[in-house]
Amino acid sequence: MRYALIVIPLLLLPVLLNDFWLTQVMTRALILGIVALSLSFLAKYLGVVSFAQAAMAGAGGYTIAYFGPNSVNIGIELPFWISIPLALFLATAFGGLIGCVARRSRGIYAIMITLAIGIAFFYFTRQNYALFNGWTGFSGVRAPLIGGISLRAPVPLYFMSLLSAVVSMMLVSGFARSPMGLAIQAVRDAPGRVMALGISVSTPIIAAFAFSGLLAGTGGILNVWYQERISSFSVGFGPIIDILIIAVIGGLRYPSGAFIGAIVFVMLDTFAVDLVDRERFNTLIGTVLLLIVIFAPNGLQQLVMDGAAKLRRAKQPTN
Amino acid sequence: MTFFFIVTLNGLTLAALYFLAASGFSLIFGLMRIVNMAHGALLMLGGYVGYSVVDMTGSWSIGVIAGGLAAAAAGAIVQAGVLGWMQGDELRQTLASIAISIIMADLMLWYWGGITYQVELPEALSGGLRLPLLGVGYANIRLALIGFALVTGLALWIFIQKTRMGAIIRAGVDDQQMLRALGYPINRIFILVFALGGMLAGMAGVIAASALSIAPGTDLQFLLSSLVVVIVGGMGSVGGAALGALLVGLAEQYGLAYAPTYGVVFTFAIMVLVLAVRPQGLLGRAEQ
Amino acid sequence: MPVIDTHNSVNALEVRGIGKRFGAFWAVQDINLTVRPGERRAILGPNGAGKTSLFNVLTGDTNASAGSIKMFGADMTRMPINKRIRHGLRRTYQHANLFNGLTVRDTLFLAVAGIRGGWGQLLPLKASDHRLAEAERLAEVAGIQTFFSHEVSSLSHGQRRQLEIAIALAENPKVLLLDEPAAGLSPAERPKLSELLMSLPKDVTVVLIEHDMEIALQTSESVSVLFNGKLLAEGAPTEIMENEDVHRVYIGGAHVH
Repeated sequence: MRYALIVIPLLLLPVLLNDFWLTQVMTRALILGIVALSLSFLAKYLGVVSFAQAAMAGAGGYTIAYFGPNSVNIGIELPFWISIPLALFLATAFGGLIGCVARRSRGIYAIMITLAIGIAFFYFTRQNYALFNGWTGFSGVRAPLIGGISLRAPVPLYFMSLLSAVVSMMLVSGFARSPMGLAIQAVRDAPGRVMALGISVSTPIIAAFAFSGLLAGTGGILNVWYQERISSFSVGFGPIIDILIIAVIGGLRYPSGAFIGAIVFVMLDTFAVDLVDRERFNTLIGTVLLLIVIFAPNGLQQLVMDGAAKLRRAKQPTN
Repeated sequence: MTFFFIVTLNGLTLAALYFLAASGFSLIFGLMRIVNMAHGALLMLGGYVGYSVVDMTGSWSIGVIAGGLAAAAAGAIVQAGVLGWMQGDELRQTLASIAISIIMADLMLWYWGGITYQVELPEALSGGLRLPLLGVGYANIRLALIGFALVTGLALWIFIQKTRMGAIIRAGVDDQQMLRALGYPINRIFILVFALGGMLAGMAGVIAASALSIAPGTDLQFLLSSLVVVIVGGMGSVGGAALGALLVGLAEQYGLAYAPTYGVVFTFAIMVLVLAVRPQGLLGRAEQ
Repeated sequence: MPVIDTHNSVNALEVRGIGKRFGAFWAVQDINLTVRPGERRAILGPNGAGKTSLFNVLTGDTNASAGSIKMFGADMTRMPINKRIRHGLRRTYQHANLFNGLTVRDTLFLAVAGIRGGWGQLLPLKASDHRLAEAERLAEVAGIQTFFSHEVSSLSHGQRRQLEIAIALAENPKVLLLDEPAAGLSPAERPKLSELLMSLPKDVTVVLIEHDMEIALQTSESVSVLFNGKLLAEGAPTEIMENEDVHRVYIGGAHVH
């Protein structure tokens, strides 16, 4: 019911918005939201803030670019029904691998390690030409034609992104209620106790990272179709921080907040020209992040919920 | 064989630079449990200020001192103005320091532009030296790096282990309440630590800008190297940072020489290997 | 009088000459215990008597410095914890470190089922899952079924203790070691715990280490009293209550020291 209230207006948006708003704002926000969701998932259920999400998204994106039509003549062209599952698989596997490396670290240690992995991946894509085509990367990547509908057109791509976002949210809530999801949360709360129950601690951690890789990879694939390009800059420090900012703005502990954060971020990015000098966008977004961390550490989602709770209390003075 | 020795020497000098860059990061982390993500930005600020001052005064030593002081002041402001208010909340401190690093990097890009700078060296350090036995020339500044690293490491170790101030700071990390109750100005001490960490970063920045160069992105490069050095060597130990820097510097140079497109992979492989065997780093204390 | 059960020739626990040494100090020394299957045994003793050291040796948290432990005839003196668990040994923890973000239901589900069973573990749990029924049964045994869907963080201290016991009962343990289950409970919560201990399945052997004499004497068939790392007395609760040695060192201990 609550989902319908949110999803139905979103289904009607293509009728209401022009292509600029639909593509530049909504589609982009949905894609960034999915990648940020992969971060909020880890933060909420495993209690780990990961800086390697851009790398996981990149694994999916680079796979699609390498095995799809592109204009740099690198890679092998495969049909989309092979390349998409392959990209999702590789992103998931990469996520699991990162989890395997970071599995014994928690808190700020996990932050440092995932950040090192993220930046190392960025430098690796810059150095390596055989697979990643160095710092120029892939351009002219074309989204596929599925059932006669081209995903390059704004409306189909919007619907594809919306569908992916809804499915991602459903996957997160379903996975959280699975035995593995419960074990992941148990590891977050008391890893020692998980071991005492005879459950491996590594398995849930690796599973959580792999699942987060699946989500990030989904966003990464959509992003390549959206941008029609991918390069080392798509997995650099900028995107790493953008994803973090989006998740923090929305509230790290709220998966749905990822999409709220993404809308806010995209609006700022799109209309920064009117607010400040376009060139100083980083100063603006850095300041927004700083203010959120100082004044609303739990993000906008919490801020809205607190506000709503206050309103409700105000309405019922007799209690 | 000569090639191998040259690569090794390159690795050692790079390790010295990495140690200089990571020492401030390691100090702040070890004493205050803060992952200062703005460390790379502080280093870059020092480098830029150093460049401008050398350009103005013509004196390299004044440039190094000015770079150190500028970064020390910036570090103190960061701790006093933002991070100090979040004491004990590591995640918030980390996020806030990221925000600060983004803002700082952007403002520096605004002021100094996107060009690459190299700080002019004093006569004693410019030029090269013909190495005995190997018979090849080698830049003085790169050899001097090793000296700088040794002096810095020794000074830090003495400061932390042998001085009263170091003892107070070490105690403060373990039990802030107690130290506060005893009347020590904890907040001011922490600001001082941050200034010291900033100073090390800033001076390393000027030295890096002299031995190599400085441009937007330098902050990130040294943040990464500092992270890996500290992860490999062990969190918050001077010896660990030295060992980590040595491993990372050598791995990077061997990688660059023998497998140019996979250089980063070597650095990374070392990190993964160490984490698999000793999650707390080679010389770190287990405490999780 | 404790009756020696001649039908069961194999004892649940057979502890022979167990000692635990820290440096030159013997925390416990030359302890012999024989616990029959299904028996309720309390191990009592004043602080520093060596209860916790003995307990840790039994659970496998530390290795014994001397002696042997057999559980249902199988030697487990040097057996690691996870193997002891597989043999049916369970313990509770005194400082309950539970999954605060999970519900009682989910906690007990993990205790019952873990994450065994392949890829199905990635799918949402169905309400009809038989393992959930088992989890609910455990909650009922421990008397916390009314809080089945509550978050663990919302439970009171006593309820957390009950949850501890429910977790330990998962997967039909043979021997249950309870580490001071009454510690930190309010006087109002104590009778409820006694009741729970007495209602535990009869086929489970229970050894409880307890500081609270009343609960120990009330819930056990036999009592072993430790003092200064040695076994001081052993017998039925009534015998122990009348034992002069016990009165002197334990009950009157506060006056002596």
